[in-house]
Amino acid sequence: MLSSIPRISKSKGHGAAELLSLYRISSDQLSIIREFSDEALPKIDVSLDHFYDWMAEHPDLMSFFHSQDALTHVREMQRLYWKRFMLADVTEDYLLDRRRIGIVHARIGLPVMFYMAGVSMVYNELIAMGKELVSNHAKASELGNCMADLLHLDAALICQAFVDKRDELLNEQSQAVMAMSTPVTEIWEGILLLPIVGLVDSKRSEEIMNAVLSSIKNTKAKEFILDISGVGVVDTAVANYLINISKATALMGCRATISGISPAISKTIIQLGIDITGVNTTSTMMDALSRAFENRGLALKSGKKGRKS
Amino acid sequence: MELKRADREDSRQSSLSSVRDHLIVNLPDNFDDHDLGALEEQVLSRLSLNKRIRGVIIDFANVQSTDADDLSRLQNCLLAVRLLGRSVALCGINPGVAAVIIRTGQDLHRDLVGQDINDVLQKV
Repeated sequence: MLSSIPRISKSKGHGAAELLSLYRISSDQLSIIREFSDEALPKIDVSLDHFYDWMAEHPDLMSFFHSQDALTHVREMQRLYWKRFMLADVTEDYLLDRRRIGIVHARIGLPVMFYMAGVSMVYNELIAMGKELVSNHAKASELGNCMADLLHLDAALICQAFVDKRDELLNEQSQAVMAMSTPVTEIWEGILLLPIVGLVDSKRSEEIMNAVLSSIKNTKAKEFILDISGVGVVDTAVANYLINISKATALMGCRATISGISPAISKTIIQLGIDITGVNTTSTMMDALSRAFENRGLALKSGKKGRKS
Repeated sequence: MELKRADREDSRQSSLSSVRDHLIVNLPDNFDDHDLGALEEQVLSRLSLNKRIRGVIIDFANVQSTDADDLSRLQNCLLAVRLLGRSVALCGINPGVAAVIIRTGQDLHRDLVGQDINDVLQKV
């Protein structure tokens, strides 16, 4: 039973032959659609009129077209799409064309719900056209099945491209957020500062560790301040992550200080019995900065401009 | 062919040198059990012959990756150094190696850590 399932490579771009096999679309079926195209193509515009009349009844759908020009352009693209569908020449270029539509849908944020409603509408139009043009009931039914199979393949290609593009966009956003959430900054020569805000989990702690260790390597910093005043919850796991970051920086010859430890966090650490031996801590970032300057042999001095008379 | 193999093996060996009263060991990248066995023999032999050596500095600068087994073997080697009454200093640890050391919970019996040889020599 399993051996009858077509083998599909795991890469995103499945080939035309692979997909036709997966969707059980034979060359005979494609020929049936192609034969129908001679009579159907002249009627495309009537069906498109029905499609756009249906769209006009749904303001939510129409909201994706910002002008009449855009609507005209999309209608022309759709006319080409239907024409290509009826010519049923499923090549690599055909697949690429369908995937492009999915990418556009992802870019404009067209919900799959709306797209599938459109697919349903197209299907009904095609079936109606088939019934009108093919008098033999059995042949019309066979044509309907062939078109349904190819339409399923088209819809799957478009949805898959939509999902892939959305994943890509989410991944890009996630990386941007991550870069913003670990702003390791060299605030003075040899002194790095990283204020952490929000929740810390194992993935984030690993990313923080990588960012910090790379910065130490690049800047040859001798002091690193990890300010946790913005961390909402410190439990055993979070404390261990922070301690590991501190220990890893020490291995690179950089002294770490965890600042922003509130009385509540300090009580939690004691209650949980977390071993913080060898970890430098301060209650405020100011204390940690002052200590780091001291360790670097620097002293802060008030100038005249800073004094109030 | 034989010559090339010998060269490769030479380049993989840990090199030993002395600065002031410290023995400096440059670890090769991807050091293995065989490298550490040879290293241990050489270091302990030098320490037993030269009583003026106060400590050993392990330079990781060439090490881009390692694993728990090799670190554990290195840890035992450094424990032997400590048992001979000498200090252990580490330097040149790369971010990836630091992360592995932390993940595997090894402390490598170190007395101090520096960014490079000069940093360690300043601290000792």
